[in-house]
Amino acid sequence: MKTKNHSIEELTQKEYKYGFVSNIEMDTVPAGLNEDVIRLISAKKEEPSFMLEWRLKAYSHWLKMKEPTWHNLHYPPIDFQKISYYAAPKSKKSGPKTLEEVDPEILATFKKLGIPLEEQKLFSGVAVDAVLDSVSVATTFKEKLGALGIIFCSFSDAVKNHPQLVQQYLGSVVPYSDNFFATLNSAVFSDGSFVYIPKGVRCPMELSTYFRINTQETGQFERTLIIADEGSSVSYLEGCTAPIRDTNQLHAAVVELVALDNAQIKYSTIQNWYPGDKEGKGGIYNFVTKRGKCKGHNSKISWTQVETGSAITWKYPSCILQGDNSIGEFYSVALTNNFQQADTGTKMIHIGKNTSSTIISKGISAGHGQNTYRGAVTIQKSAENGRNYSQCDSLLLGELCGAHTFPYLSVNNASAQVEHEASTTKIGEDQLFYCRQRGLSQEDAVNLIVNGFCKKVFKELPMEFAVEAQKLLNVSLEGSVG
Amino acid sequence: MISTNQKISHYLDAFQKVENSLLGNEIPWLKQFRAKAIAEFENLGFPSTQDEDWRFTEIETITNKKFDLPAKEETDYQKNEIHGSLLGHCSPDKIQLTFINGIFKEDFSKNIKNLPSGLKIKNFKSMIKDEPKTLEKYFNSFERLDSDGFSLLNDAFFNDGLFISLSKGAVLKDEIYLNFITHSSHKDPVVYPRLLCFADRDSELNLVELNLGEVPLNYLALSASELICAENSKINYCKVQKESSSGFHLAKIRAQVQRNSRFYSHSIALGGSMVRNNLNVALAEEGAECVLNGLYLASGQELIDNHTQIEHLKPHTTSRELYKGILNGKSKAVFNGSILVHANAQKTDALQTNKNLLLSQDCHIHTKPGLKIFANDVKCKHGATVGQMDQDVLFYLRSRGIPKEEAQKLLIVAFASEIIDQIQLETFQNQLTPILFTTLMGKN
Repeated sequence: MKTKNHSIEELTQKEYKYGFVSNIEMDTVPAGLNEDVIRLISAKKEEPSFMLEWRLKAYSHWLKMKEPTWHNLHYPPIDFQKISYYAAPKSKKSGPKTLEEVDPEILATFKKLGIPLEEQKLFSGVAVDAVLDSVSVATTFKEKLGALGIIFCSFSDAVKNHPQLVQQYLGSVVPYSDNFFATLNSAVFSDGSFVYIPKGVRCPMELSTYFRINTQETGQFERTLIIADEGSSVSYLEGCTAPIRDTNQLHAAVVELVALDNAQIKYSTIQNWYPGDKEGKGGIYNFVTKRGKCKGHNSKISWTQVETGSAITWKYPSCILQGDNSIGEFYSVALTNNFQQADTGTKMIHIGKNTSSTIISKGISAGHGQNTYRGAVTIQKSAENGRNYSQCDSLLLGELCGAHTFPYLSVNNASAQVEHEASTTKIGEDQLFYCRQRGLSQEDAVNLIVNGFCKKVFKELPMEFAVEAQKLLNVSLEGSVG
Repeated sequence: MISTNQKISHYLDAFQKVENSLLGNEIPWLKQFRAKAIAEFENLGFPSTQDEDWRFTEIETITNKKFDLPAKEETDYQKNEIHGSLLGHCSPDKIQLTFINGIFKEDFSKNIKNLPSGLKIKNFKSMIKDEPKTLEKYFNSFERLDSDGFSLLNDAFFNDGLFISLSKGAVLKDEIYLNFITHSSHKDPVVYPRLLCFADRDSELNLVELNLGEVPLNYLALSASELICAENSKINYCKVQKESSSGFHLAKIRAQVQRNSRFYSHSIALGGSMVRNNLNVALAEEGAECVLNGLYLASGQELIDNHTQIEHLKPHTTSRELYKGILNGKSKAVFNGSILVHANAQKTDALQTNKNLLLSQDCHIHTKPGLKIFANDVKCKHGATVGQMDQDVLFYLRSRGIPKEEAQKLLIVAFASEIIDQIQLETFQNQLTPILFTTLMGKN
C-alpha cells in the first residue's frame, strides 16, 4: 500500500499534457450582442433573407430567456456582452511556421496518440500548403462523394448552394426557441457542417469534419445539420483525439440530425478541449444541444461520445423516436479529472409505435472531477410497445471526486417496458492487485481496468477512432490514478 | 382561481386566529418554534411544479381549496363506526392508540394502562403537562432543513401528537398500533397528526400506523413523523395509508439513525385523491443501516407520490430501498428516490430499486431514482423498471386451466407480496393481506 500511495502522489502531481495556444490573428467584431451584430454576421456570410429573419427571431426570443440553473454544475456567471460573436480566422500565416516552433509538450502528446506527422502540423496550426497530403486526400474524397450525390460542405456553403434544404430542415429538430444556449446559437452561429445523403445511398466512408478543408479552427457557435434521406445511411465523426486549441471559452454548438424512412445515422464524437489547469483555472465551457429525429419508419440514430475535455460539459444528445419501429441509441464515456465538471446524458422521447432505445453511459471521475449522468426516457401515450434499456455506471478514482445519476423515466403507455440500472463503485482493489502482481505498473493497470470499463462504448466507435479513444483516455487519466 | 397570496394568507390568517389556543402556547420554545415555522411558510409558500421536487405533482387541487381546522372536537360518531376498519382490532391484547383529527382519543385506545416496562406512550398534551423538558429535548434534535410549505404548516398548527419512547435495552416484540383517523362533519377540514418516537440504546420497537379517512368530503391531512434510533437500537415503522378517494395526505417522515442502529420503514399506500410521502433518513453515525420498502396501489384519478432521501453521513453505513407500484385506471404515480453520500462516508453500501406494474392504458408513472455521491470507496446501485404483466407467465397459468382474471390477480398479488413478506410482523401481515386483496380487487 505504501508504494501505491507514493505512486499516486507522484502521478497526481504530473502536469497536464496538453498545451494551449491562443495567439492567432482574427477578423473579429467588437464584443457584445445586439441586432446589429446579428445583421453583420449574416451580411458577412452573405446569407439569404430567411436566415437573417431566423437569426433575429431567435435573438428576440433569447432576450426573454433565462440561463438554466437546474444542472449540477458550478461556474462563475458568463457575461454574454463580453463575448465577441464573430471571429473568422484571418490567415494562417500567423501560426507557427514549422513543427519545431510548436510546444514540445503538445508534440509529445501527439506522439502518444500516434498522430501522423502531417496531421500534427494541421492540428498545431502550422501554416500548410495545399500540397499537404490530407488536403489532397480530402479533395479526392469530395469527388467520390459528389459522384453519389452526397452533399458534404460547410454550413455557409450549404446556405449559399442548397438554400431549400437548409430552409426545410434548419430548426426542425432543435427549434430556435429550444433552450437558452441553442437559441443563442441560432442567433449567432458562425459555421459548421452540412450533410445530405440522397435516397438509397450508403455513404461509402466515415464523414469527418477533419476531412473538410478549412475546419482547423473550431467555431465557437457551430451548427451541424445532417439529413439522411429515405433508405440512406451515414456515419459521421466529430472532433478528434488530438487536443484542440481554441481561443474561446464559451462554446454553444447545436447539432441536428434528421433520419427519414429506413435511414440510419451514426454520430460519433470525441471531445477533447482544454479542460483547464490542475487548479481548475481556465478551460472551455461546452454547452451543446444535440438532437436527432427519427422522422421516418424504421429509422435509426445512434450517438456515441467520448467526453474527456472541457472544464464544463453540458450536453444531452437526444433522440426523438417519431417514426414507427425507429431506434435510438446513446453510448457515452465521460471522464472528469482535476476540477472538470460534466453534466451529460441523453433524452429518448418515444412517440412512434414499437420504438426502442438503448442507453449505455460510463462515467469516470478522478481528482476533484464531478460527473453527472442526467437522462430522460419518455414513453408517450402513442408509443405502443415502447422499449428502453438504460445502464449507467460510474467509476470513482480518488477521494475527492463525485459521481451523480439522475434518470427521469416517464411512462404513459402500459405496453411499454422501461428498465434503468446504475451502479457507482470505486476501481476494484483486487483487480488492481491482480494486474500489479502480473507485473503491470499502477498506471497501466488502471488504464487497463478503465478501458475494460468503457469497452461497451468503445466498440460502438469506428475502429480507428476506438483505438485513438482508448489512448486518449489513458492520456487524460494521467496524474489521477487512485 | 385563487391567487398565490390568497392561498398563503388563508393559513396565515387561520394561524393568527388560533395561535393563542394552540397546544403549549405558554411554553416559550414551542411558541417560538411555531412562530418560526409560520414565518418560514410565509416566505416559502406552497411548492409548485417549477420546483424540482414537485415537478410531476400538481398541488393546485389542494391549494385552490380553503381547508379549515375542524372547529370543535368531533363527538357525533360511534366507536363501532370505525372500529372494524382499525388496524389491530383483531388482536385485542396489543397496544392500540387512536387519534381523531390529530387529537388523542383515550376511549378509542386499548391496553394503554400497564404498559410493558421501559415503554412510555403519552400524547403531547400530557407530555407538556408532565415533562416538557423531555419533549423539548427530542423535539429539538431535528434540524428540519428539508421543510416545505406543507410540513411547515404542521409545525405551526399541530395541536396534539404522540410521544413514544423506549428506554435502554427494552425489547418490544409486539407491535404497537397507531390509528390516525380523519373524521369531520365540517366541510374541507385540515388535520395535523404528529408523531415523535425515540428508541434508546439496545432497544427494539415495532410500530404500525394506519392513516384512514372517513370523510366523504375533501380533507387535507398534513402529517409529520419523527423517529430517532439511538445506538444499537431498531425501529420498524410500518405505515398504511387508506385515505378516502377525496382525501389528500401529505406526510413528512424524518428518521435519525445512530451508531449501529437499524431503521426499517414499510410504507403501504392504498390510495387517496393525492398521497405524498416525503421520507428522509439520515444515517448519522457509523454502522447505521436502513431498509425502506414501499408499495403503492393507485387507480381511478389517484396520485401517489413517494419521495425518499437517504443521507449517508458517516462511513460504513448501509441502505436498502425497494418501492413497488401497481397502477390502474387514470392514476399517476411518482417515485423520486435520492441517495446522497457525503464526502467522508466511505464504505457506503446503497441499493435502491423501483418497480412499476402498469395495468391500464391511461396510467402514468414518473420515476427518478437518483444517486449523488461525493465519496469514492462506495458501492451504490440503483435500478428502475416499468412494465406490464409477463404474458408468458400469464399464458402458463391459463394453460393450466386458471381463468385469465384469476391468473392476473395471482400475478399482481405475487408482485405485491415481495414487500408484504418483508414486514416480519405476523399478525399485522395477516390483517394486511386481505385489505390488500380487497383494495386490489376493488381497483381492478
